[in-house]
Amino acid sequence: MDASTTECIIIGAGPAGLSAAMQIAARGHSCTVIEGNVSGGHIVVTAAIMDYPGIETISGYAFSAILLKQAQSNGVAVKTGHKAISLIRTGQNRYTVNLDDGTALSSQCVVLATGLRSVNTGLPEESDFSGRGVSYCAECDGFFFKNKPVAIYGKGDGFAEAVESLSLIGKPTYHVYPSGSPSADATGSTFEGWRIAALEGDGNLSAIHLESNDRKQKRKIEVEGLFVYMGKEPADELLKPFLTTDAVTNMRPLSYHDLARTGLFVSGHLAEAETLIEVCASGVSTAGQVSKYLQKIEKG
Amino acid sequence: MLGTNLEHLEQKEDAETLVNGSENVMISCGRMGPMCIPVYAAMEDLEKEYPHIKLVDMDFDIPAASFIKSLPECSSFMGLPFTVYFKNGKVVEATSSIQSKEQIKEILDHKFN
Ligand SMILES: Cc1cc2nc3c(=O)[nH]c(=O)nc-3n(C[C@H](O)[C@H](O)[C@H](O)COP(=O)(O)OP(=O)(O)OC[C@H]3O[C@@H](n4cnc5c(N)ncnc54)[C@H](O)[C@@H]3O)c2cc1C
Repeated sequence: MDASTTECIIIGAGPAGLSAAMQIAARGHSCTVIEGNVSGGHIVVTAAIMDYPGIETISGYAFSAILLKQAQSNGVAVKTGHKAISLIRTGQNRYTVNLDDGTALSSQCVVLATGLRSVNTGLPEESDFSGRGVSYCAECDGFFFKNKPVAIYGKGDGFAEAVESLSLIGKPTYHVYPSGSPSADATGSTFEGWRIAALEGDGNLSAIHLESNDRKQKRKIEVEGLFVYMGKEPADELLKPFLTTDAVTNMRPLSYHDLARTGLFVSGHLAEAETLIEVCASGVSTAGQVSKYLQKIEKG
Repeated sequence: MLGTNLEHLEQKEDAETLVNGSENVMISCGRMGPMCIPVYAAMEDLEKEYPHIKLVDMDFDIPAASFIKSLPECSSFMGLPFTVYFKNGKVVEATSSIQSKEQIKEILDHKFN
């Protein structure tokens, strides 16, 4: 296994991770950013950022490209398309990050800036039907389903917006809410407390199989489109093991502050910052803490 | 024209010339929406790594997009973007909707190595 070393590894090249990276490098520390997909994080898909102080309007795509350029021109190495699959504290001031390509990186400290992750249906066949009936964006793909039967599955604001936009397009439109106790309305188009148990189709989606949460009722609905809006959840799988027992001291950390004392920093959305300005500020603030930590261990 | 840093195809003739005159071509045809942007961003990332492949985009709403939309491989697609991979002028792979950088890399490695 190839193991290379840097002072700080940042996991996640969203706005928090890249803001932290550019500032850590500007303070003279070596820094590598690991990103599982493309750089930019969730803001990359935003058509227009309107609420960032000092900027009238900019697309998320352009904003992310500038952030990446700023980090790289400060000397940050950004490794995209490589997911961190595990994070191990191997000693005092020493962490190892294992990547999905079988390589490993080690560092004196780590910043977790993994943000949020989209939740999907959990069905193994979901990806086979992506772009062939399954969609995550009614605004983008709704026009493919004009006068065709569609179902909308999920919860939250995205779900409500999809219901509104697809009500004018799909015929008929079914609404399936996975939470709550099972009920189905009189017209049979709204299912609350039901979940999708399977997807069916030969190439393209042709039906969904529903099951009530109490598992007493089953229903097959013929649809050509399924719009999935299951929301987002914290991408905290690398963090969770550290919220139990520390491998070196055998103690349980009380807070992120305790973790920071061991060289593990949590930043951005994962540290409960919400808007873009907050996550960037969180990244910059983390950079200050990282720099102090690295100076402290250098002095011994 | 799409707001990416990729080369944009705007005329059908340009698309034909590119596809027929180059060994390896990837064209992603879409809009600036949340399913399309991650594909363009991955292509921009991959441009340097795959200099032997032409990675270009095309606006779904211009007349020239019929070059992609009318391909039999795209006839059952129901999600943007339509991404088509050509080797020596022939379609070797086509995908519909969002793809991760890893999925795109896998296609590039297998179809154009
Ligand atoms: C559609 C949309 C529109 C928005 N519009 C606005 C707006 O107009 N204004 C505003 O202020 N805010 C907006 N936001 C919120 C803003 O995008 C977020 O606050 C911000 O992106 C959070 O930044 P982050 O860096 O903490 O996390 P994220 O943006 O979620 O980035 C985390 C990164 O970590 C990567 N990652 C996760 N796990 C791993 C792993 N194991 N290995 C490697 N990489 C990993 C992910 O791929 C991702 O790139 C919007 C959000 C969305 C979803």
